[in-house]
Amino acid sequence: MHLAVLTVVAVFITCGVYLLLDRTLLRVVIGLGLLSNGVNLALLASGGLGPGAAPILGHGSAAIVDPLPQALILTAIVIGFGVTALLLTLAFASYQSQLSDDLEDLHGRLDDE
Amino acid sequence: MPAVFLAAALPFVVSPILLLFRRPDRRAGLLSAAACAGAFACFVSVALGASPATVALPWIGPLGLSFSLHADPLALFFALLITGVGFLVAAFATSYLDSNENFPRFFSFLMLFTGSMLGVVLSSNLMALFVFWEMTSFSSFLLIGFWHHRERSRYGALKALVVTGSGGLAMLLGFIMVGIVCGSFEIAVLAERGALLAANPWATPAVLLIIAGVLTKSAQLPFHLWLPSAMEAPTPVSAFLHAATMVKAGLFMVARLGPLLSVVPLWTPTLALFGLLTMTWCGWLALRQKDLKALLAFSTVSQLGLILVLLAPAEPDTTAAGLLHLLNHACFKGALFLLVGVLEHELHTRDLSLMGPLRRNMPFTWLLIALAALSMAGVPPMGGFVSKELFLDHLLNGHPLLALLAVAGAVLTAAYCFALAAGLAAGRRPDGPRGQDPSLSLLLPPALLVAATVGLGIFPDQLVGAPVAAATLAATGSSVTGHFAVWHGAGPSLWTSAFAVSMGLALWWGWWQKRVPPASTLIADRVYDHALEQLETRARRLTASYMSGILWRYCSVILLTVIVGVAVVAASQGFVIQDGWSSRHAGPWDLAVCATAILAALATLKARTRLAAILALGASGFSLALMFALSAAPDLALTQIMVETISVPLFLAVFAFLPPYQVDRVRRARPLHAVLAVAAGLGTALLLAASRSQRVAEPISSFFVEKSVDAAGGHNVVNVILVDFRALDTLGEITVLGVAAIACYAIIKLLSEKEAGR
Repeated sequence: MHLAVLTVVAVFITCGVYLLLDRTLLRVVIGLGLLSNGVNLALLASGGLGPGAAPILGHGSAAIVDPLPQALILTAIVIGFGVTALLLTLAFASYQSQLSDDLEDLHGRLDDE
Repeated sequence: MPAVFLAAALPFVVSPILLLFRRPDRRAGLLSAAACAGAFACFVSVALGASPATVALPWIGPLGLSFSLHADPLALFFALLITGVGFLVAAFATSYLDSNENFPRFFSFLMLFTGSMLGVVLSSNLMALFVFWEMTSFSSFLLIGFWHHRERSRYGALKALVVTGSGGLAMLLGFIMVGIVCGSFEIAVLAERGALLAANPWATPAVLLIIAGVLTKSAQLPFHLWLPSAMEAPTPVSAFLHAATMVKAGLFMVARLGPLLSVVPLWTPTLALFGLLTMTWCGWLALRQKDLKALLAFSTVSQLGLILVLLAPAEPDTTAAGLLHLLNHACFKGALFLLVGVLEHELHTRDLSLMGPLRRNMPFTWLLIALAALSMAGVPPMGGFVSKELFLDHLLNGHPLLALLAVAGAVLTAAYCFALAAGLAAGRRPDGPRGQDPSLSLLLPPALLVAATVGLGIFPDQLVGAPVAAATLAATGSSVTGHFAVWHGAGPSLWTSAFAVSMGLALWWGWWQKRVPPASTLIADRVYDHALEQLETRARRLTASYMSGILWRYCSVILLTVIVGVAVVAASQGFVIQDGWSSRHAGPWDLAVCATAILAALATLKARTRLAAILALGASGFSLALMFALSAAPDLALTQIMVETISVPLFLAVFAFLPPYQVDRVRRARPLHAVLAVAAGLGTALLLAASRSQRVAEPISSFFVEKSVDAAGGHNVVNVILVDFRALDTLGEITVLGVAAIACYAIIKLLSEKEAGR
């Protein structure tokens, strides 16, 4: 299981970083989303991937998995959502006012102003 | 509360109170003068032994720093000088400033300075001293730039801050070196550890750095450039900061630390040489000035050089002479500045070549100027004569070349003093601006200072013999052998003095009036301007080189730094991936979900349309949710599904407003990006694999599992952590989300309003 999860982490982060470095605004936002997915999975893997039951007590004496990474990830998912929403709004706004979603193009324009 | 503490704190207490006054309220000045007088009285009570001289307060314990004030006779000498002159200057400024000036601000800054200066002389800890030292530079900056609407004021203020500030930083470095070598920052402890310092190779650089601080603060060559520019300050400030007190902080440092630092052989000769060169060269520059304040500024620099020469050897006799001249200089130069202020106030000019016959128009003002100038020239029976005698006495016993420089300095001093006094008496322009002697409130403060310098000439020993002797004892640790007197007998110093005065007279009479070349821009000024300009352009260029404004460049730099940093650490620490991590066996469902996730991620790269890219991102998110579900994390799975369900429509909503999706925009750097991306992905996976075998401590999760039911009454441990154990973090998270929501709303609202307005 570990190897499979590590592969997924590697692919998510590779794709995420590659998109993050792109010129097109929407691809940057998508890249950031992938990147945060990859990091969340990495957090989970760092706490160990079982075997164990879900961290809910009172269901017999079975060993449970580490709850702490899960708590961290839960926070990260929500914050990641907030970031994505804000970025999308900014992308929308910048296109509305500048009529371009090309970051280098936008940069040149801001310099001219 | 001890009187020392009270006196030192008084200006700092008064400073903010002053800001509450209304703008044209002259009572601000009276309150400042009262504060100075109060502090003066406190110091007198300490000097008479009526109050303890030491206060110690804890400051930064772990660093071994205490905030303590120690009013030994040397500190008291300076403190009395500061508060005494401060009182006169505050009283003078109260009636000097025009009624539309911002009185509260002026006096608030002035009090800030007074407090800082008292802090410098009273601190018994080098670090505390440094803090106050920098505060004097800062308040000087504020006061020079008081008329901030003038370009020259801002220029002068900045220059003073740059020069004295960088000197202060050099000095801090020197202090730290000395402190580390000697193992303490307490001046009293340091004084006994000279031997430690002498034996250490770091002593020389430390001493050179401290000398840099001294030379910049006291405007000695080659840092004399800031003082003439500082003359843009209102005249009372020039008299107080740039003649009587702040510029003497450097000299105070020499007196205070001289006994310790003179164990380094470089200390005395370096200071003496710089002092002598400054005295002579700036005397020459003073002679060439037409602007009275510029003349006084250069003369101040020159006189400070003279005092520096006397204080440099850290021996009792010369130190006593130095302190006496310091006091003299504060009196006559303070008076001269105030009187030039009076001239400017009455005649609206301070150009020497435009003055009418002052002796007729403003006899009292002129008389005071003449007396002060004669004292500066070293004519008996003025105070300046007594201390200049001692100076010449000291130098005539030294190296002949130095003696020659000293005599040249004395001649130039006498010449510009005559130029000042006599030049004003007759006036170059009979038709020049006419004025009258001002009111008593403007004449009394300088008159008192002039009376002091005359008194110091006639009764030097009776007036200040005891305090100067006590201060010398405190500074050098040994007693003065001689005593001050106006008549020393006809020795070589008297002949030299007579020679210098007559030569000065001759120089002024026969040569100055026609042939002295007029003042030109200082070389140091040109260097400063050029350096500042270069610094600005280069800094701008450097910043522009990495602040490109292009997102992928920033991200590349950050990623590269992280990747290289982690790689270096991993290589040096040894990178181990061990087998045997605990992991359940992957079933067919697991493998299927992982494969889906990988495919979805790759699809985001390859998607040709925006819709496909968004759906691919959604697919990766949902497969992540499944992986959570399979890994015994039901809460995560639920949250992830919820977030994905909202995100995908959000993307799609924005999608409607964006231009056609561009996948293949021209990218020269694409291979670099691919390398960076793969390095980041692979690196993270490897780091993760290694982290399992690098556990150094037991996980803290067991605490949450054990306490979950007992302490928080919840069975779902993840929930309990979020809403109970780490509830504050969750509150922060909610706040972040709220702020993001408000920001989104505001942006969209703003846009739609703009649309509507169009």
